[in-house]
Amino acid sequence: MRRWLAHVLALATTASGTAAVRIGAAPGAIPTPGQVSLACQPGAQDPLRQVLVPIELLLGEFTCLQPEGVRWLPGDELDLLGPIGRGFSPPSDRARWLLAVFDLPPEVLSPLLTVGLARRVELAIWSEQRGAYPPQVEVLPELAPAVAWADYVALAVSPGGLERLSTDPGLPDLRRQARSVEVFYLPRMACGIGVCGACAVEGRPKHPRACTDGPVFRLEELLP
Amino acid sequence: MKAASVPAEHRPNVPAHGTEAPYAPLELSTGKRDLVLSSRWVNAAGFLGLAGEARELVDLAQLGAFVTSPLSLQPRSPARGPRLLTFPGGFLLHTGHPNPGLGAAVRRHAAAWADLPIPVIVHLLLRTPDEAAEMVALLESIEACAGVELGLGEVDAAQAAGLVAACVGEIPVIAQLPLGTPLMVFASAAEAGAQAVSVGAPRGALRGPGGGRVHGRLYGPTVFPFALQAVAALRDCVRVPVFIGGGVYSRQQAHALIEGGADGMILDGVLWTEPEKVLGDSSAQPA
Repeated sequence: MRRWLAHVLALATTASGTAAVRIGAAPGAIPTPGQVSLACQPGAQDPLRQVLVPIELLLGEFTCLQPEGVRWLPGDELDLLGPIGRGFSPPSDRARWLLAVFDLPPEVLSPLLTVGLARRVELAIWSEQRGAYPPQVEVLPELAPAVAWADYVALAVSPGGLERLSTDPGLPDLRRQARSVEVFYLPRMACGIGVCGACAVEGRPKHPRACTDGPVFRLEELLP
Repeated sequence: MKAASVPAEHRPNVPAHGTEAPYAPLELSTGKRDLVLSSRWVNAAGFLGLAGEARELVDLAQLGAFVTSPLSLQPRSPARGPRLLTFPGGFLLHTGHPNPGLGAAVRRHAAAWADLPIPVIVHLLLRTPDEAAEMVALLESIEACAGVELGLGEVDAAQAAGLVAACVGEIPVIAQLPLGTPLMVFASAAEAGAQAVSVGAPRGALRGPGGGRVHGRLYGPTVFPFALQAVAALRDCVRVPVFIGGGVYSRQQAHALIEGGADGMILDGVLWTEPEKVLGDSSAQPA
């Protein structure tokens, strides 16, 4: 992780209608699937850096969800800090991937979807919001049957959605039924270097931080 | 003593860009242990970690001292509920000051403190005078601890005096109170033996995602006018050095506080964004 000078290339809208930003940056600044970046505008006296959640990763540029409240324009310089944290690491021997998104735009798992397509694994996705997917991806109306089918599950949950995984009776018991589960879980992040505690995971031993120990966790790290 | 072993090239006391007159080193002494700050910048507790984890963001040698994250006698867990809220021009932190406890922190980090290029000030979260005395007694055995900053929180004058008095001894003591604390509480802390006082982030509240109020510490550029107003009044009230911060995101703001009577500058949010805007050029810039 380090600081990089980057540029806003364009503003965009995702298939689910969410505002996004395309950012040009050095190859070393591009996150891997599941990693995030922090950014501020040089000289703008931003109180904090904004968290950038990537939804498309390319060589020398990436697209991220537009942080709430920012007014960046094409051509603006950005001071990037990243890539931050631990991304997804699906085991290489898994061939049936289930991606599931709770309370977040479905595009947050798009970079992982791209990895799955490149590996030619079977891909299924479940999301509470509508998204647009390649024809190789099966869009599921129900989550429970797919959990039994998949040999790798990647979840993305909102900060308020973590408890749902263990308390919502309508959801399958992932701890019992799924073989290998990774969870993208991103509480609000401030420092990005693990010192402030803002993104600490509540109620877990050693209080892992999303910025240094996540934002992709093994399910058992979040729901012991 | 730690500061005496710091090579001169690691002790910049010029206010960054080098064109302004340098400030003289600031020395706090108990007669038994000295805390010498070669530059007037220090970090706010909680912004650079327990042992310089933030080296990638900040060249620590540009600071006059490194202030650890707040440490309590017993371990503390993160606060439940929202811990970070933003508002125009600032942000609120309510982290609960998670930490492993003073004893564990000393065991894990004292060696790293000794290796830092600047003196180390350990920030203590205090509850009672007995607890305070126990914590300071532990630190007196740690040579790398050049000073203690006492996070007194929201206390009255008598409580402040009691806590400070319990800590006065071998190590220089800086008494920290939130911006907005009555001046008489600062004066009481100084009279009780603190070698310096520091002004911490003001407290405030915002409406949280669930609708309830979230109370916490306020940071960001919007805090600066309140800090600038406070420093002159505080300067007239106490006869010990005054450290103050709050919303300093530029060199001009830092100089305004020094002209207003501050002896030392506490940097907070800018350390996570563009520290070079205050500290001047360093390797910690975007490339």
